[in-house]
Amino acid sequence: MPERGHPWHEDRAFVHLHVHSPFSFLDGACELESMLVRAASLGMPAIALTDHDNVCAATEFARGAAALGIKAIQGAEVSVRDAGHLTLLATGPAGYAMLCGALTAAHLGNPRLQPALDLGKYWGNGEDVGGNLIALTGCRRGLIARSILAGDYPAALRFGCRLRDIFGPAGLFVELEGCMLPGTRGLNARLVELAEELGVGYVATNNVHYLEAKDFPTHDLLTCVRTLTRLDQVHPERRLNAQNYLKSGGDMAASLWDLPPVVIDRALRASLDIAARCEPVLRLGQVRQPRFGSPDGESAAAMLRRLTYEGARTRYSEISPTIRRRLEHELDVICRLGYEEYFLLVWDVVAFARRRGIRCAGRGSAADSAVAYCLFITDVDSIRRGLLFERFMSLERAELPDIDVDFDARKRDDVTRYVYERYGKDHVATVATYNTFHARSAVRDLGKAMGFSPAELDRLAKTLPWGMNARRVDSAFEELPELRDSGIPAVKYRRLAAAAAAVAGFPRHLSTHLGGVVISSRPLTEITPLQMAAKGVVVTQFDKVGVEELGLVKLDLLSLRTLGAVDDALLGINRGRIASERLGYERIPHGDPDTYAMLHRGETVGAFQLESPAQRALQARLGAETFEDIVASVALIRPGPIKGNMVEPFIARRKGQEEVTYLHPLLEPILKKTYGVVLFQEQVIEIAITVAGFTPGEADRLRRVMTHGRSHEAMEDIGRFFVSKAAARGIEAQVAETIFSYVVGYASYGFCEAHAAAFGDIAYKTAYLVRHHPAHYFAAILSQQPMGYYPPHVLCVEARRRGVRILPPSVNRSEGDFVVEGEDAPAIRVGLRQVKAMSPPVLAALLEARIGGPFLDLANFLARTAAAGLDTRIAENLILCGALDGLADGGNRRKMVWHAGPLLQAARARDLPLYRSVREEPPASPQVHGGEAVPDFSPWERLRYEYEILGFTTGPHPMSFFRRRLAALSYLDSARLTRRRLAPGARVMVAGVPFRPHRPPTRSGRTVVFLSLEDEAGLIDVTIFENVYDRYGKLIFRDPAPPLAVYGRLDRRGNGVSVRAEEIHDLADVVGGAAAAGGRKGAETAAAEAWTTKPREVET
Amino acid sequence: MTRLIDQPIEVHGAVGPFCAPVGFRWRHSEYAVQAVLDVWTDTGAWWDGEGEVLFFRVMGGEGRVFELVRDSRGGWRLYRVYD
Repeated sequence: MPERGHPWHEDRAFVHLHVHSPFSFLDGACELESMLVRAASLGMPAIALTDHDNVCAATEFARGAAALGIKAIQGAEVSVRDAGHLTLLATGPAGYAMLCGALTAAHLGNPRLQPALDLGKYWGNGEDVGGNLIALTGCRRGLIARSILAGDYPAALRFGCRLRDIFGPAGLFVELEGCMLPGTRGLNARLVELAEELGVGYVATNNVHYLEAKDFPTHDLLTCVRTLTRLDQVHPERRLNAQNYLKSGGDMAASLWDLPPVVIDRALRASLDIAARCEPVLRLGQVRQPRFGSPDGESAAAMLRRLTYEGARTRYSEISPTIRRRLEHELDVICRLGYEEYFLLVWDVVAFARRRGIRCAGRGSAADSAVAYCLFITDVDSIRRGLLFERFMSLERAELPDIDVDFDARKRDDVTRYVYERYGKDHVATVATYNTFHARSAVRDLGKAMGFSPAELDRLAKTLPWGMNARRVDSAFEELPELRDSGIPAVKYRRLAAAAAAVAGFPRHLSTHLGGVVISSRPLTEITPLQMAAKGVVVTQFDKVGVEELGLVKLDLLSLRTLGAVDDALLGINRGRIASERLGYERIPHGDPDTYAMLHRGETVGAFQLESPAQRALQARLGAETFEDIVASVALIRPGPIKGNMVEPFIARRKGQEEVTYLHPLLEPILKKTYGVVLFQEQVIEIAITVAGFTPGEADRLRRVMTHGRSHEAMEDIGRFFVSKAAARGIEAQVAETIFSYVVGYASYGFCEAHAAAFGDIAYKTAYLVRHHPAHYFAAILSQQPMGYYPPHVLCVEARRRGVRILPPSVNRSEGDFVVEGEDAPAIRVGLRQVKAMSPPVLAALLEARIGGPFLDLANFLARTAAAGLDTRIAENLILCGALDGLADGGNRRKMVWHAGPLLQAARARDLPLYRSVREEPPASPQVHGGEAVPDFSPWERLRYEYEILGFTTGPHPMSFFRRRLAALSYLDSARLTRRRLAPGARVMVAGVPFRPHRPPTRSGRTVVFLSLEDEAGLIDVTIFENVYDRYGKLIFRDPAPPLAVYGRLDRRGNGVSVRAEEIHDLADVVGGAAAAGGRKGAETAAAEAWTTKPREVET
Repeated sequence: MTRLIDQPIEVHGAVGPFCAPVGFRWRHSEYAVQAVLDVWTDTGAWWDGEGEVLFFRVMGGEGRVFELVRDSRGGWRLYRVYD
């Protein structure tokens, strides 16, 4: 650039028309907001956004620009087939719709991640672009600049003519970049010539990818990540210099130093002229209602009313005046807001699911609606619970409601397919989500580009807490003991940490939202481009925030594996029962004393929402007696209530240890169910209505304002307003002020009661199944993995603790899923799908082959399954996990492994058909020599293989190998720890396999680590305060975690016990040698001492 | 034909918006800069601490083209010669 002080640096009016945000996915290195602020500070009246082949940031851009008083010009840098890049700007809403259509064609007409707009096909028919789009010829990667640089001016001219034909002479501008690259001088002069020959204008742009020149390293790193290159490697996409920043008008003029002043003037002025021709393209917040299409000419409102009352007659035996009043009020609000079609849409989807027997349940604030209950969208009776409709919808809020419905995970896609078929693929799409840089991903991606080895990056990344903000990597070296004491040198990684901070939160790629689907009455491509996601579904380019801002109606069709598990459990339970004895989900009795007794003991592993260590500890203290207690439990163990100090007062008052008081009698009916503690958001609304006379909608708006953390001044204003309104109703100012302070304190922490009730219903029913039908329920949740809080090995320990045996997989007895065997003493048979590397085709073939009769021996098994694709790996895995133990030659797994390879090879070589009957004699198996005297694996080796292949063992638990030695050292197992009547504070020693150490937010803000130790009898919960964590963090968070020995003091909390750790050691150091960490010698010694062979389950 | 040289040189004079030299001395010979053909910047190996450099492609006498580079501390090198 010309030196500072040169006349060309003086201020010039200018607008940037070619700008990339981080939504150019690994090609934009500055937050959009910072770009907008800089543009505004430079006095630019407008700015364009032109990300690569997408408009993902359009709503954020429109909102941000409007807030700063600058005009948002929406565009995109489009990939054009055989022509590189072309910059397109929408001049208004019509142009935006055209742009969305063009981007959709570019994406869906080509392989994923390779969008390419075929100009000839798309706009080759003389379609009138008609001033709706302005085209800029693009950067050096555009065909025009590329051709000129290659010395092919005629090619540039030809393409320029094509573009002029499509966009018109007034709609095409040649881009001039002052990018200080080799060849720019000659290039720009020729580009001006070309523009004059074409009779079109030219405009200065800067292909902006970052804010300032000093941000170039971040952009260069992102380019390396995108191109899978290291910094020390050359790649054509890596830029040579740091010129692509958001330059001022003066800098732009200076950067075109090689052109005559009159040309520079014209090029800069053109940017202003183009900006003046463009208007904002989005009208945010305008709801675009879908059309349900009610049949037979019935209006949507009439149909909604009819269905609501039909449902009400089913839900309630009698429609009382109270019910009618409530329903009429809700229907009135729904129709006045124009949302009747939306409700019908949701009703229709749920009705489809119910017709197909797909279990589903609405969640969230929709459970505040009685209409939703009568339509069977939710299962929470909001009238009986006294839930406020206004938490869900109100005239004052006037926002589109958000109804989330959980479906059986296995069948959720059937529901989504129905929606596509019902409304048409042009009107339905899945919502996108943006996968963004967090600490781990930033370290891995940027570290690779910086040349760190995979091993050291893996070690560093795994030490960082999952989900940690990438800005915190640097401070993590000091703050986290496991990193500080890891031996990883902080100095070496300082630059990596700084780079990670620079990309914190940047989107890396587009992904698929878990269940969000949008439905539009207009073709979706008028509002959002569509593209294919990795999952093979068509997605919008906007995430859930963006689609809401666009006014698109979104349905959340979520998967909940628990619902599938419940279905499977009930199927198993009801097998063989007559109709009158069948247990139905809706008929699970509330108030079962055995279930509540189980909750009192904190034995809730497997129960939905109630199984985490924090929940188990809560249940043991709370002593839940009613459904309300369960609803409160669901709400209490959340970061908000914990930080807001709601848990302890709630428990104390619930247990009668603290007096329940109310600041004012008006609060009693509102807070009685939560013992005077503000726990639910609905209570905040009710307080504002009852105490200060707010309308329900005003009160909900107040709640939302307080939830979103306003400034101190704004909160004081609201407080004064609240107090004055309360005073007008005769409430003393001081009392009103105190009530307001409670409301402020709890508003941001409160939980939605309707959601808690919806989940509480499932929580209670699954707890009932855990208590009364553990075999069927645990078999079901094991089959539905991954789900819940605990992995399969913990669930197996818990099932055993409840007296349910876990039977090993068997090629002759197992199904694909975990199933229950036996009626009087039901046991769980491990499913073959659990075997590592098992594939669906091999499983299906194995089960089919078995129809002809059981497998006899190894040779017979391999002969009958080889043709189906059974390979050596699956065969060995089946042997090593014991699935062939029951065959005639089973028992010595090492010997079977020895024989498997040759037998399998022979079976394939003979090209045997898939034997369907055991009666068909296969040709003689080859003799496999050797292996006769091979000793079997040791018990420890068997255990290790089972863990590796199944994720758990069906034999003795690993800790049982060390129990005799540990017992001699006075260690207690989980059963003894619970049974012994030790006083609180008693010194104890425990050991086990650590599971899920985590650092949840705490009231004090100090770090407390919670983990569970798994042993052969169950779980031991351990609490590790900051001073202990500081000493042993490195051990606790080691990956993989070794079995640990913990010395500490017993804590009693209600019926539950936990250990407050004082010292933590690697169990290997306690039992000697390398035993516990997996060393063979010590483990086998321990096994020889401790383990006695039990007869395996014999095949009959 | 082009040759990579990358040797320090002395320059004199400064002209134009980028202060391009009017001549330089290399291997005891003086070379006059007859025209500046192109100018560009290069950030170099920034990860190794290299600073931004400024390249000049200049026409010397007898049809020879030289690439001169000025580093961030103001030092000059002859980078390449086109014979």
